[in-house]
Amino acid sequence: MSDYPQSMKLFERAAKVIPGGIYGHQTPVLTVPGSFPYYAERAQGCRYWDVDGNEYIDYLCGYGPMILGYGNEKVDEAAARQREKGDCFNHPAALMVELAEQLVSRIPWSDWAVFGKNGSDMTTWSVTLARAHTGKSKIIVAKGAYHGSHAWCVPSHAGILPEDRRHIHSFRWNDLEELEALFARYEGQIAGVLLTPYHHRIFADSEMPVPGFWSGVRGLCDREDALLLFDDVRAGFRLDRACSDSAVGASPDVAAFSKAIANGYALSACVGKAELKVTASKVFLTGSFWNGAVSMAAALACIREMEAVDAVGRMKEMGQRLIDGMSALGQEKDCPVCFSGPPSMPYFHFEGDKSFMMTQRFCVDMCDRGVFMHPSHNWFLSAAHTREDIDLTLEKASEAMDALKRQGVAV
Amino acid sequence: MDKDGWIGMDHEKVLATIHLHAFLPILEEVAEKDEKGRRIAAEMSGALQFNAWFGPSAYLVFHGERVEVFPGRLRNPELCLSFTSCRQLNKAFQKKGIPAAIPWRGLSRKDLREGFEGLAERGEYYLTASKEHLGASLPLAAELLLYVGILSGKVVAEEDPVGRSLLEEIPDGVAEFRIGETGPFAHVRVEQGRLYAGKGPALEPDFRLAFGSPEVAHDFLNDRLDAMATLAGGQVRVEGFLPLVQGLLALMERAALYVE
Repeated sequence: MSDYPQSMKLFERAAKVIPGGIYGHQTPVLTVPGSFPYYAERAQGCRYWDVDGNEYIDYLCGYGPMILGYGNEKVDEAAARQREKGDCFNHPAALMVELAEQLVSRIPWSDWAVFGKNGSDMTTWSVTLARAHTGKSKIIVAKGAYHGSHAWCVPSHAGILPEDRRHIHSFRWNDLEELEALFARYEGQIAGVLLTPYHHRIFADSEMPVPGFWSGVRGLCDREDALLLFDDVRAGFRLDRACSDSAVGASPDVAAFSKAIANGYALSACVGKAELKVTASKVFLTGSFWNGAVSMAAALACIREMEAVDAVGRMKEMGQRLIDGMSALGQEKDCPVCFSGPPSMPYFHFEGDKSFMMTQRFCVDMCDRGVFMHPSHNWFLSAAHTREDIDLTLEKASEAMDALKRQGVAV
Repeated sequence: MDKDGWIGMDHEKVLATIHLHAFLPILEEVAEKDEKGRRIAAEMSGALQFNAWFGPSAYLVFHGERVEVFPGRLRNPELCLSFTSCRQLNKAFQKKGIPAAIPWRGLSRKDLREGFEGLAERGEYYLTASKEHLGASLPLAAELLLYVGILSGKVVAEEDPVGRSLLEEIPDGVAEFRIGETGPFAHVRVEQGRLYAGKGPALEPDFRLAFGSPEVAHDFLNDRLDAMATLAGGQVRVEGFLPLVQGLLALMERAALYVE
């Protein structure tokens, strides 16, 4: 517990005044408590520094929002310019219109956009929209999928009433038969099917859609007059230049985004088809800061810059380089590794490491060597990761695997 | 909390099962490790059966200073206490009318009944006494709380509708719980929708949770600590397949609603 003295000192103070010390997805409990930094000081490019002064190559990217690199000049300058003018007004800024236009122009099937601050704002709103549009109550999700921190979907139990989830039902990802059975069981009651582009969970391999899955889901939704809701909060802008639908072959009615949309500035968005626009206008949505202009300025700059630097192509190339390199190291050192998910969001563990203990020890060791890799969450690449960063990471990974072998840690 | 809304119609049966399958087993340790418990047990021999009509059953076998507890029914117990309902059994365990039990067998074995009541009182003492009151006995109290916690979690996973749905979400694997550096231990195994819980270490755990000290364990298991802060702060160390224990802790919290 003494590797990160400043982090631990801060945490001791935090634990007295903040429930959980650090709550939610950033809780240290999901890593290996005491063996990772708890507090960050600053960040630049694909690196960050913790409060103890340790520097890391970052493969978590703030759990996804950082896509162009921390402190990206184009994005930060756009945000700073808007901040000088103001952020929270009596009215939206003109930027809101421009941002909606930009999103709609990049997502061919979409005709309108709305905005919020977090992914949960948009997944919840899209569920309400589906109910309003269809007049039905039930929502189908994939088992184990994360759709946010609101009562109907939060993956914890405290304070949640059975009523909160009475109309939420789930099926196994890729299992069209089970989905069809749910449609049969709740005939005439299903308002929508809410799915991520591919199945990304913690402590589990990512699962890509099998051929025919998305067309099957679309067919069932059409047949049963249910909406296909697309939760692109985590993957959006990393598989394609905006929505991940084309990357996985989905054809949604509504899609929700957040995380990478503004390179770290707080913003979320939902886009949808024209035929839903009248209903969308009736489903109330707002928040004191939801129309803030600074994050919208950042989003506009971010979207343009991602295209200018071919962020998707870069992340794919660097992610693949990382995957290939670590896979080769695993073979060479007789500790084979498993990767799943797209290269820009790889999910990693050692082969056969059911308990994740070997993977956790490896990630702890990598952290000690200046590379931050989450032991149970998918990693994120950014457009700021360079070949040199990947090669240095592989050098450290080689050392860490050797250390594991020396310690006799094996699956 | 509204028990009708939160607990459901099987409340009495779940609670009776907790009494027989989670509380009774800790009397093994009470008879072995508590001085008064040892004295009581030393005077006892024979088997004591508990039944609730349309409910759970379990029996204790007294071998002098050693007590063993088993689920189910014994063919010829020296004393058989049968309750006409789970509610009656629960009242008895909550000391609201033990005469409600019908001694189907062993009318003359008042000693077994009184001995059991003495042991149960000691067990209850360890589960409910404050840290200050427990003093040097706190390690045993923490151990018993751990056993009751995981065994109650098993009951809830099997008998309670919400517990069953919680169990569905728990992935397969083996979790080990330890107090201090050297134990005591308890373990839970989830396999294909079934949950097995027991005292002692696990053979090849997928997840380890180690309470830094009996005091931390006592506070944690009594829900007096901010669990996430305690885990992150290192007073409770965790390693391995976390989704396994998140579900188990939810089951234990659910069980606590019954006992409250």
